[in-house]
Amino acid sequence: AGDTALSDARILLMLNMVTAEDLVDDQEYSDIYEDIKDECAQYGEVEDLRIPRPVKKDKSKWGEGGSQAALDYQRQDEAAGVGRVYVKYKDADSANRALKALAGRSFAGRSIVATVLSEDSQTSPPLH
Amino acid sequence: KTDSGPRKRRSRWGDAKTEIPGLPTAIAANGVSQAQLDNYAIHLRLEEINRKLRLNDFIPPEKERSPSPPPTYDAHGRRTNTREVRYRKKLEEERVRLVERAMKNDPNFRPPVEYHQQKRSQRPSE
Repeated sequence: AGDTALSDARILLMLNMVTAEDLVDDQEYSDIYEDIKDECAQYGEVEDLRIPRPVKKDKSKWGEGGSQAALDYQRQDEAAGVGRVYVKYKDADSANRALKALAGRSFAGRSIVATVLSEDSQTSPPLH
Repeated sequence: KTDSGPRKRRSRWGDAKTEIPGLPTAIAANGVSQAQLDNYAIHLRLEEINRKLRLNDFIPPEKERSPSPPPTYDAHGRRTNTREVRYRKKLEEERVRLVERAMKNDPNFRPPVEYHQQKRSQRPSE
C-alpha cells in the first residue's frame, strides 16, 4: 500500500480494551467513555468516539431455549463490534500519534492492540 | 453501591507499556480482515492471562480495584473469597470464554492445556 492509502487512515481501532461485561452498566460505560475520550484527545482533535455496547438481555427468554437466546445475543454483540473501540480523528497524523502512544498501553489491566483504518476499509466501523 | 459524596472517577489507564515478546500491539491493518484482528486480540489476551497467572501478577493496583464483597468462609472458618481467589477466578473464567470464542472462530485453534484441566474440574452436573 502506498502513502495515499495511509493518508486518509484517521480512525484508530483499539482491541482488547473493553469487554461486553464492562459496558452493561450505564455508569461504568460512561466512566470508560470519559477515560478514553480524555486520553485520546491528547493526540489530536477527536471527531467521533464509538464504544459499541452489548444488547440488553431479556432474561425472561432464558427459560426454555435459553441457551439459544444467549447464543443469539452473543452473535449480535459480535456483529455490532462489542469489545472494540473506534476513535475517529480529524486527520491521519493524529491517528498515527495515538497509535504509537496507545498500542501496548494497559487499560484496566489489558494490553491494547491497535491499528489505524481508513473510512473505506473493510473493517467498517460504526462511524458516520 | 454506596453513595458517599461526589464520585471520583478512577482512571483505567496504566502508565507503562507491557509488550509480550513476539506479540506486537501496533498492527498494520492492510490486508487484514476484521475477524483476523479479533482473533489476534483473543490470542494476545490469552497469552496475557497465562502470564499473569503464571507470575502471580493478577491483583490489580488499588486504584483499579472494585470494592471488596463481604467475606465468605468455608465450614472450617477459612476465608473463601480472598482478593487472590477472586481475581484468579475471574481470569480463569475469562480464559474459558476466550478459548470457546477462539475455537468457534478458528477450527485450527488449539486450546491451551490449562483449558482442559479447568473444564474437567469445573464441569457442572447436568
